Amino acid sequence: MNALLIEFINEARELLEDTGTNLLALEKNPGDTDILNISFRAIHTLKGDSGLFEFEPITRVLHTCEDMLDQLREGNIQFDAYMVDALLKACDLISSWLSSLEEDERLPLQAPGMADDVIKKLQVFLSDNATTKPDTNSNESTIYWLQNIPEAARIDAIERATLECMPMCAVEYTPDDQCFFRGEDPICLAQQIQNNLWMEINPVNPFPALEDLDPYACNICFHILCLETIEELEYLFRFSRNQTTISEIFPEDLLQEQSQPDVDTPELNCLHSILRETLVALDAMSDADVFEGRVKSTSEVLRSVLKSAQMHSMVDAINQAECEAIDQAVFLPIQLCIRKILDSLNKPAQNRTAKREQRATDSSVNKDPLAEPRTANNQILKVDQARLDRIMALIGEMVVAKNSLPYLSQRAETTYGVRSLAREIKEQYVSINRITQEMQDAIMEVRMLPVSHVLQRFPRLVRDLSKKLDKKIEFVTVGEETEADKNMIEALSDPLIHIIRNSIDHGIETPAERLSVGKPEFGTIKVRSSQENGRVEIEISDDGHGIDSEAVKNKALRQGLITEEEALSLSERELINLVFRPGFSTMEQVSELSGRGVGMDVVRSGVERAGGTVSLSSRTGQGTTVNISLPMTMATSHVVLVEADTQSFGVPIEMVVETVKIPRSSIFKIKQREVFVLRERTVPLVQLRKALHLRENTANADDECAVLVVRLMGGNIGIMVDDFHDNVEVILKPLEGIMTSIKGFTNTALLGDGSVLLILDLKELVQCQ
Amino acid sequence: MPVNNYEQEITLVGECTAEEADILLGFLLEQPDKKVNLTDCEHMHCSLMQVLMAAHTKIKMPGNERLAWLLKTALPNTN
Repeated sequence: MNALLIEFINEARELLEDTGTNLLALEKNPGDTDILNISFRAIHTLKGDSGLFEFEPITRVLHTCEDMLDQLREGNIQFDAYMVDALLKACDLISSWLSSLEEDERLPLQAPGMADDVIKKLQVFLSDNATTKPDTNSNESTIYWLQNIPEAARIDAIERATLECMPMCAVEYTPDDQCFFRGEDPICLAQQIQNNLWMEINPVNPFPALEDLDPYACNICFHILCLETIEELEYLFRFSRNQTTISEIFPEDLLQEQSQPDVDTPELNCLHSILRETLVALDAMSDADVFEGRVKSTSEVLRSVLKSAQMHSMVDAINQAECEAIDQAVFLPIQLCIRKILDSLNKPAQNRTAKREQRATDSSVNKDPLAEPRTANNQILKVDQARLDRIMALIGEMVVAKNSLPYLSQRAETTYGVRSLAREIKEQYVSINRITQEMQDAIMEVRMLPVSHVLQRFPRLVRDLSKKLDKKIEFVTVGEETEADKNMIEALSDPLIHIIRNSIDHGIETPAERLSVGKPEFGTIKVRSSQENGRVEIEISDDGHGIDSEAVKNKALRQGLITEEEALSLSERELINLVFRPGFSTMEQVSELSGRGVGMDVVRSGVERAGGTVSLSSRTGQGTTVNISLPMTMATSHVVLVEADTQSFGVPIEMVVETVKIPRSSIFKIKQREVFVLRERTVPLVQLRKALHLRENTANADDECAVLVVRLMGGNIGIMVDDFHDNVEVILKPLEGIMTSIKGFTNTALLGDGSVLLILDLKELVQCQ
Repeated sequence: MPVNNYEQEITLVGECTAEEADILLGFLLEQPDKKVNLTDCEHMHCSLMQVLMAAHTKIKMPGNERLAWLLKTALPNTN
C-alpha cells in the first residue's frame, strides 16, 4: 500500500480517537472552549489530510463536522447532547471507512450515500443558524480582504512565514459599537499582536458627516495578518471572541490571491521545467569564486523567462532576491523566490495540504539549511511493531546466549583446570549481563504503553450502553498512566470489554432501583490500575447489586459443573468464581442470573493466555470487583529449575509461593490424596515423579522431601520434587508441531548450556491426578 | 491637557484617552481643515482615531513608531 495512505490511516485513527474522547469531555463540560478548539483542530487537520486523496465522502463529512464545531465555537449554535451523538456517529462512519481503505485501498461503493445521510443529520443542527450567518468564518472560503494586501507586503509575509516557520493567521476584528463603554480600547488590543505583518483599519460603515459623528460608537474594523499561532490569538482576543474571526492561513493563500498569469499550458509547463531545473542547478553550485556571477546570470535568465511568460509582477521579486543573495552570499533567497513562483504556477490545487506536503518534500530534497530544524523538531518516531519485536527477540536470544558463560567458566575450571581463565570469564559475564539487562530494560521501555491506551475507548462504550439501557453511569479511571508492555495492554482489551459490559448490563441498576435502595442515582464503574511487584494490577469495580451466589450455585448445579457436595463445601467467593468456568454462561439466558456471566470464561482465558490471573469478588447489594493481574512483559520469564529423576523442569516463578523441605513423616493421606501440613494448614501434595510417570522416588537419606509450594486455582498446592536449582531467565517458546500433543508441559526454553528445558503445566498435571 | 487647540494646529500629547475624543471632535467641528500634530502623542484611544478618520484631517505623524505604523494604515492619505 502507498506509504502516504498508511500514514493517513494511522493518523486519522489517532485523530478520530482523540476527537471521540474530546467530544465526550465536551458533553460533560459544554462550556470548555479549549476542548472545542482541540476537537475543531483535529477535525480540520483530518479534513486537510483527507484532501490529499480522492476520498471525497470523508472530506465532505469532515467538512460538515468542522462547520458544526466552528459554529459552536463561534457561539452561533447552542450545544446539545444530540450533537455529540451525531458527531460521534460521523467519526464512527469514517473509522469504518478507514478499515475498508486499509483492506482494499478504496471506500465502500455506498460511501457517498452514507456520507449524505450523516451530513443531513449533522446539518439539522446547523440549519437553524447557518442560513442567517453566511459562512465567512470557514477557512475554506477565501478571506476576501487578503486581496487588499499589497504585493510587497505579501512577499514579505510569505518570506517571513517560510523563514521563521511560524504559522500565519488572518484576524478580522470588528469591535462592537458599544465596546468603548465597556472600557475597551481596540487599538491597545491590536497592538498587542507581536508579529504583525500587515494591517488595515477601515470603517465598518462609511463615516457620516462630522456633525453627525458619534465618537463613542465604534465603527472600526481591523484586518490583521500576523505570524502568531491560533492559540495565542484566541487567548489575546478571549474577551472579544464574538467580534473576532481568526483563521490560519498558509503562504499559498496569499499566492492564490494573485491574479493568475494568462499563459498557455505548454508555455506554463515549459516555464515550470525551467524553474525546476534552475532550482536543481542552484543546489549543485558551490563554487565561491564565481558565486556572484552565477547569481546574476541566474537572475537574468529568470527575469527573461518571467517576462516572456507575462509574469511581470514576479520580476521585482527576482530583483530583490538577487540583491539579497549577493548580500548574504547564499543562493537561498533566489531558491525561495523560485519556489514561490512555482507554487503560484501550480493550479490552485484542491487542497492546500497537498501543497504543504509537496513543499515539505521539496525542502527536504533540497537540503535547505533552514529546513533542517523543521524536521528536527519532530522528535517522535513511529516504528513498525515488527521491527521492535525483532529487536526484542534478538535481545532475548542475547540473554540466553549470555547464560552460557557461567557454564563455560565452570568448564574452564573443572575440565581444563584453568582457574584464572574461569575467573576472567566470570568477570566478563558480569559486565555482559549488566549490558543485556539494560538493553532489555530499554527495549521494554520502548514497548511500554499506558493502560489509558486501552481504557480510552471505554467512556464511549459506557456512555452509549448506559444511554441505551436508560441507566446513569459514571466511568472513573484511576492510575491509568500505569505502564505495561504493548502486548499486555492489548491482551487486556477484550477481557475489559466483557467485564465492563457486564457491569453495565447486569451490575448497575436503573436509576429508580438505585434510588429506592438509597444509592446515588449515578452508578460508578471504576477501573483502578497500579503496578505491584512487576505486575500490572487492574481492578474493575462497580457499585451495582453484585452477584447472587445462590443463583450461581443453582445454575452451576443444573449444568452439572459442580456436584451437590462440592456446592456445600464451596465458600461464597468460590461460588461466585464459578462464573469463570467454561460453559457456565453460554448455555442459558443470562437474564436468569441476577448478576453477570456473559463470557466470563472468555475473560479468564484471555487473561491467562497473557500469563495473568483473574478473580472476582462480590457483595450482594454493594457491587462487584474483578481483579486482573498481568505480568508487565512477556519477553523473558524467570523459571525455577526443579529436578525429578535426574531431569530438570521449569516452573514459572510467578506461580511459586515458596520452597520448603518437609520431613516425610508430615505427609498424610486423606482418602486417596496426599497432603502435608504447612504452618498449621493442610496443603494438597502432588509428587512430580508420579505425575510425570517417572521412576518412583527412593527415599532420601535424611528423609526429607523438597516441596515447591505453588499457587494454583486459587489455592496452594505442594509439588514434591527431588531438588531445587537456581532460577533462570529464559525465553519461553511454545510447543510446536508434533510436540503440541504432549500433555503436561506449556512451553520449552533453551538453557545456557544448550539443553532444552520443559516448562511444567502444573495445572494440568494436578488435575490429572 | 493632552488635546490642545493652538492657533496653527491641534496637538495631541502623551496618552490620549477616550474622554479626549469629544474635545477633539469639538475642535475639528469648529475648524475642519486644521492640521492635527501628533508628534508627541504616545497613544490614542480608538475613539480618537475614529474621529481623525472621519474628519479626513491632515495629520503630522507621531514619533512613537508603533502608533505611527498603526495610523499609517488607518489614515493613509492624510499625511
